[in-house]
Amino acid sequence: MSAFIQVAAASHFAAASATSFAAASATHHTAAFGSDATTLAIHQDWAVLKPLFVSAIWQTLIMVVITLLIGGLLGLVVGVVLWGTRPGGLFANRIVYRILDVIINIIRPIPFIIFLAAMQPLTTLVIGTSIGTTAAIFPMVIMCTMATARLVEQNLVTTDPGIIEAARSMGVPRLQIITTVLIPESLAPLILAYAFLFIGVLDMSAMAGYIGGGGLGNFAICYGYQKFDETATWAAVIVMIVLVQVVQYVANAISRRLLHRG
Amino acid sequence: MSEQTQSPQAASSQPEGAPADAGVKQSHETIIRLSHVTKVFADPRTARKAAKQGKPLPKAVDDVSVDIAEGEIFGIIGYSGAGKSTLVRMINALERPTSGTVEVMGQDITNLSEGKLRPIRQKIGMVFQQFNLFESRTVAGNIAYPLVRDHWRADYRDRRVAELLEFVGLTEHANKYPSQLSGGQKQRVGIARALATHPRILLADEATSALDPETTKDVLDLLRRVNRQLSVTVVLITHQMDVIKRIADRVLVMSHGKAVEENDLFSLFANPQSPVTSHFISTVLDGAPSRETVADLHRHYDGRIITVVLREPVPERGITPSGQHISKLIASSPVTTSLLNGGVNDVAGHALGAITYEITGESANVENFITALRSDSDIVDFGTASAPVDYEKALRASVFSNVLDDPLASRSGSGDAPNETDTETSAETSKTTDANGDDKEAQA
Repeated sequence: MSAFIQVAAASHFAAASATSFAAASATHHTAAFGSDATTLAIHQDWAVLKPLFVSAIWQTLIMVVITLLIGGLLGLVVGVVLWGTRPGGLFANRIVYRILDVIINIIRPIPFIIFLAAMQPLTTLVIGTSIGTTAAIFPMVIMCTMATARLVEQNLVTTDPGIIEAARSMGVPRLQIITTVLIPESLAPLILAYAFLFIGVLDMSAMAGYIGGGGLGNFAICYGYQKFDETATWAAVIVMIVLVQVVQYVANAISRRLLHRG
Repeated sequence: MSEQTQSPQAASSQPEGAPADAGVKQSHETIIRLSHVTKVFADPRTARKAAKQGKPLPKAVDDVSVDIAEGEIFGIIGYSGAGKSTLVRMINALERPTSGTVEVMGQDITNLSEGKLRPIRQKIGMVFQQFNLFESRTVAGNIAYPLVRDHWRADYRDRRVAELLEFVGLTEHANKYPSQLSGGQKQRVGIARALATHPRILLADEATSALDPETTKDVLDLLRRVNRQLSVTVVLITHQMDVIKRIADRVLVMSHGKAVEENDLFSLFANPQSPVTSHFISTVLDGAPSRETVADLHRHYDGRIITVVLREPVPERGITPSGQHISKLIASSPVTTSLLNGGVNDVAGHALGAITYEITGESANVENFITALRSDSDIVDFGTASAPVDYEKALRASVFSNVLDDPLASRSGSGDAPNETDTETSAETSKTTDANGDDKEAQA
């Protein structure tokens, strides 16, 4: 049993590229095992786990923020194109709509962990490697773009077509209608959609740990689940819950302000 | 209803930039010309289905030709689904006709590209039933929007917005959001926004249908001011005849995508040519007794019951007088009359209505009286209680014969909403209507 832990821990630390620390920690654990592993792990590991934990938080934030920025923006564009090209839309175009629709429907249902593996060749081609935080961001951006596009489309479809017609009746060019009427008018639900996406991307970032992406998900698996250290697992979970709460709270506040329900 | 008078004070408060002589200038120049326009909504699936069944596609607008003159208020009335919304959207090319041509302000816009339509659309304002305001912008922001898109300098823009806010009476609400306004206020914002770029035409698509009767009046008065003070041609679509009656100069009646009847307001009311028109008129005209009213009167009165049409003559429009000398005739005839039911309406400044009398006396005298009355008036003879004339037969023997074909029956299975006219008419006229008259009892 102890041999198994050694192997597992060692392999994981190698993946997290903290090899020097790995040896020390592994030895320590093997020694402690047998008396009261859990208690010892909590009290004695935290000093060494803390910096890892902090850097895991940062890695998560970087992955999530970059993915949301790039994927969110690309998704917004694709979502607007979907909205515009759908039948009866401002730029109604069956072919463009169908193609985008099919691509999104193909990619979206793939479980992200499988998508990560499937994307490996392409990731290597684009990023140069398929391991590490940067490599994890690439498939995350693609999946995020698809999810955002669908969410944006769904929110835009509910926009009152009357206001679009009003803007058209004023002679406003169609691209300006999108930037000055469509987006501002649906900003409140869009912001809530992005808050929802944040959670989805956080979820993706946890899985990205599997390809050495690091972050809180990786931390919870390596130091929590695989080392039977529930404290480490829960520490990661609590940080994620707090992140989600903060993002949701801010998004709610902004969208409420935007709605002008007086 | 003196449409022609306009107080000088009111005229002087007009926003700057409007023509100085913005009085009652009704040039007869055509500003909008629709020639044989037809619109088929060919969504591919229905098109395939229709082709398979060998049926022609339903036409939303079916070969309509109409000329609208500069400076007039042109009303288009029809049930929902009559094609009036589609027709009016052809004027600013929100809809393109399947065939036919659209000419606006002297320019053929039928096949103009979206980019080239821009200057034309800026000269055509549009207001909507659901107001279609930008909820994310304030009242001032909504009105300023078309000016921002037109690259107005900020100081000119602010002045124009202030002017328009004053014109529609919303100065103190400038910084509110649409959600904080009442329906009437929202429509005022919609009108101000539509007027921002000094349009020559204003399209009003059921602009008052979502408003209560009192607010409807206010908004219609505002539309009239837009027309009279700013010399803006107004094209107004509605399913409410009282809206038409209140402000329209000329009227087009539409049914099933076709133009059924077009006339000036009074002629339309005084001499309706189609059952659809008659039905619309019956929703706002008082006086004509319904079948039930006549039956009721026969139960309570034994004498001869006749309805006399009251109609002011308008010789230049071929409108003949009716019932103009009835008082004199009654005074000079050896018969007894009692006034049972009736009502008179003011339509485009002329009186129009009907009065129902019971006439008793010696039968020869009664006959003489009716003959004399018939010589200069339109009457409907319902007979006596002991020898009643069938309601339909009575109407068919009168000027109302063309009114009789029940428009509701003839429109069965069309998918229209026949009762819509009744649900939203204003309080002064709202009542359940019979195809041929109304139920309002004994006003006199």
